[in-house]
Amino acid sequence: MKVFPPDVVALDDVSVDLRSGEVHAIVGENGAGKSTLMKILYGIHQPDAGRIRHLGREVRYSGPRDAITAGIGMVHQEILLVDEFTVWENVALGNEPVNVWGRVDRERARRDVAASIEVFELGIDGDALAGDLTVARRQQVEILKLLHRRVDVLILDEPTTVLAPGEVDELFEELDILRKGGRTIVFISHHLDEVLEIADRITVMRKGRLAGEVARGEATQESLARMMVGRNVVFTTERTPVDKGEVVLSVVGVSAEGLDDASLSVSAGEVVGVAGVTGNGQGPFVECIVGLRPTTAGEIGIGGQDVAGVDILDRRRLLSYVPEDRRRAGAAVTSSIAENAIMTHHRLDPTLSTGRLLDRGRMRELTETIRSGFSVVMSSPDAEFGSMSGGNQQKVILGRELSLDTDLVLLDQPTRGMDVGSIEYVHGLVDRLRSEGRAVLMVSADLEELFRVSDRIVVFHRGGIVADLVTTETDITEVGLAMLGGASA
Amino acid sequence: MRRSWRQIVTGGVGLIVAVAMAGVLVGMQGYDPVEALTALAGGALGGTGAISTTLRNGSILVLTGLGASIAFASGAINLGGPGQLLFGAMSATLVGISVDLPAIVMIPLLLVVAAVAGAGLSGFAGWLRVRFGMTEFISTLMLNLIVEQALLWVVNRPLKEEGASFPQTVPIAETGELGRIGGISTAVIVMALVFAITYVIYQRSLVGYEWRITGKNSLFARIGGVEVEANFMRIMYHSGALAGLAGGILVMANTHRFTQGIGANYAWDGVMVAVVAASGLIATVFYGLFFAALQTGGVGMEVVSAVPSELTQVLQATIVMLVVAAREVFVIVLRRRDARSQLRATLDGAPT
Repeated sequence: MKVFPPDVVALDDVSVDLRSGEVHAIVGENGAGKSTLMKILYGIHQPDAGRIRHLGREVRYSGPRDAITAGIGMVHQEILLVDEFTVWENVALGNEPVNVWGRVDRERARRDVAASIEVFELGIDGDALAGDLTVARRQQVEILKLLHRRVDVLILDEPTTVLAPGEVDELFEELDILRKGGRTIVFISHHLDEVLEIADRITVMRKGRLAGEVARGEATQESLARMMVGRNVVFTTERTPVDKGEVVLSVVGVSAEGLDDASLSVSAGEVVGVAGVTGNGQGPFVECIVGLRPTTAGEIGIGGQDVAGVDILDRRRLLSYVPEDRRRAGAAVTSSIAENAIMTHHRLDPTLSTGRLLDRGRMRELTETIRSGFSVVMSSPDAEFGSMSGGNQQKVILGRELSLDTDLVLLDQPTRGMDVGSIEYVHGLVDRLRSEGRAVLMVSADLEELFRVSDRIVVFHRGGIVADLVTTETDITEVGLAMLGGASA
Repeated sequence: MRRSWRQIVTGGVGLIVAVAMAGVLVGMQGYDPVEALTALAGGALGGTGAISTTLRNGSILVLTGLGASIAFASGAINLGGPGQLLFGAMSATLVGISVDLPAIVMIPLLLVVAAVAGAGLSGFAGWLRVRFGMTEFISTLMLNLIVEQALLWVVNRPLKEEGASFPQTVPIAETGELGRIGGISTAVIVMALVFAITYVIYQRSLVGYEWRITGKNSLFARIGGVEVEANFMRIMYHSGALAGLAGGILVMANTHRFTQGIGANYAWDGVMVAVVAASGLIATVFYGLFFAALQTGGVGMEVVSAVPSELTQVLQATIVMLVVAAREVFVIVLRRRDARSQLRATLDGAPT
């Protein structure tokens, strides 16, 4: 089986071959294209170019049902079972045997499922209610659903994230049985220790491209980490040294939903990079600082002022914030560019309004300042925000936030989805902020980028900060290992 | 393409197709379509009397439409128009029958009373959401039923005019009536004034800016420092005030008293107007007046050409569906075009 889908955005010219009777791991950072690749294989997405061959025949699946019929099944991260149904009812659902009267033959369905449980050596009680099962058991039911439909290629999308350590071992034993039975298992993960334990071959992806394919015996955690995050070489950039000033952001022992006892400080003239696999607490951390998420413990100080209980508008006097998701949180894409450009300014800059009315002349002036100061290409300030390219949209957002002139700047994935030129521009901007003596906290999934711009790098793992490293004294391998929960300094 | 242009094109196409379809429908039933449509136009716009009635009904419809539009455009689902309109009408009636002041004081007083009543009712629904997390979508709908039934009782029992054969109150003081100037109902002046105020608040003021942005992306607004909850209450007040005002004008310019069934379909038609107008304020005025003309003209058409006035309801519904559909099709076509050109650009620029 081969996949050659050069989808420009998510996947570019990736080829993978899967052999029967092997566990094939696909590893990569978030956004590396693992899921996209699998969705193409599974018929959820269609490749823009490239071919898929299954058992020697070229195939193209129009959807999951198609793929399952052909013998390819996928277990997603979210487990979708009908809680009120028994295990066998869940398994038979959508594939029920009918008797001569055209009605569902419940007794036969129950027997068939029980037989499948026997064959695949799963320790599930077919008559148990799905709602009563543990997560690990529910996952087994999902796998059983596919096996029961005679699937011989099984795709598991990060199956271990929901499991406790003991349950992981159990899953691996099950996978081993299936492998010996000649089935092919695609195992998606970013836990390198697990991959090295179970996989026969490992495909590493990076930024939508194939970074390499290795057999288990040839790989180590370090070598895989290096392949995942990119070259070991870090660009040495001639950055003018800036003397650190006073502490601008101080976070002490902050906990919240999804965040556990995080402490961090950022000084004036310092860029601190935040690394971590998405979903390990960086998001909640930033939201706590901005005031979007209530904290349950700890203190956050900005510019010496404790911001506990301070509302968002008053925090915005102290911090600029470029959110991770531009369209969801950074702009109103169907409003005009000018309307997007004045957000927050409209309350903090008194010249923008006369009385209670907006001063439209000043609105245009501010937009114009941002346009020229941040080299934005736009047709007119009254054009729809969404009519600009992604890079220009991000420049307007950056311009809006940075011209708030605050001491603290929070940048959450400011270069995601941007072209090379725009990324360079943002990096230059961060350098400028640093030399202006601002304190910058920058979250990024791109480690090379963090090494390029930051003075220090902190690493999040499972809701906490597990490493706080000086950029010049560490390397990508060390950060990559810390991200994956490995040993750290 | 500019949004306003897009709206005019989709609206125009929708109207023309709808009228053509109505003509075909009339023709299929054996009537003369040209005669029927001419009668329809004549009933709505032929002569001062017809124009005045169209403008008066149109003013009420525009106000309920504006109330729905600003709520929808700001992300608040106020479906309580019917209740707020009735509450405004009853409040204006109550004050109108109990005090008798010079017209210069009386008219503004009754208008303010009606607006405050509508705002109060819709504000209550807003408070239920802010305080208890009850969505306004449900609470405004349910309040409609409560207010409607309660006022039905009021007009049938304590406030029923003695000796009247129909459930209605006594008339309000004559000084509270909105009369005609040059044969044209002055309701339209009130409507124009209220529209101007609403337009300035919504399109030009600081708070209106926040409402608009909140309606488009409330998370973005919140991150930007907008006090989303306080604004939500303001929107509910304003939206309810417009519906209440519509009720007040209904009493002052038309019935001069509260009667059973006074609200007719004004409030729900207002919601429909807001939907067709895509919550645009100017478009709301246009469609409000247009639908009022259809309804008024329908009555005239029935008299002249024997085509039942129900046809106008069919016509109205057809217009709503066509305009909304045309808009969606337009958006889809534009998106496809954008997506294609973007894909082409990326493919061309991609290193292979």
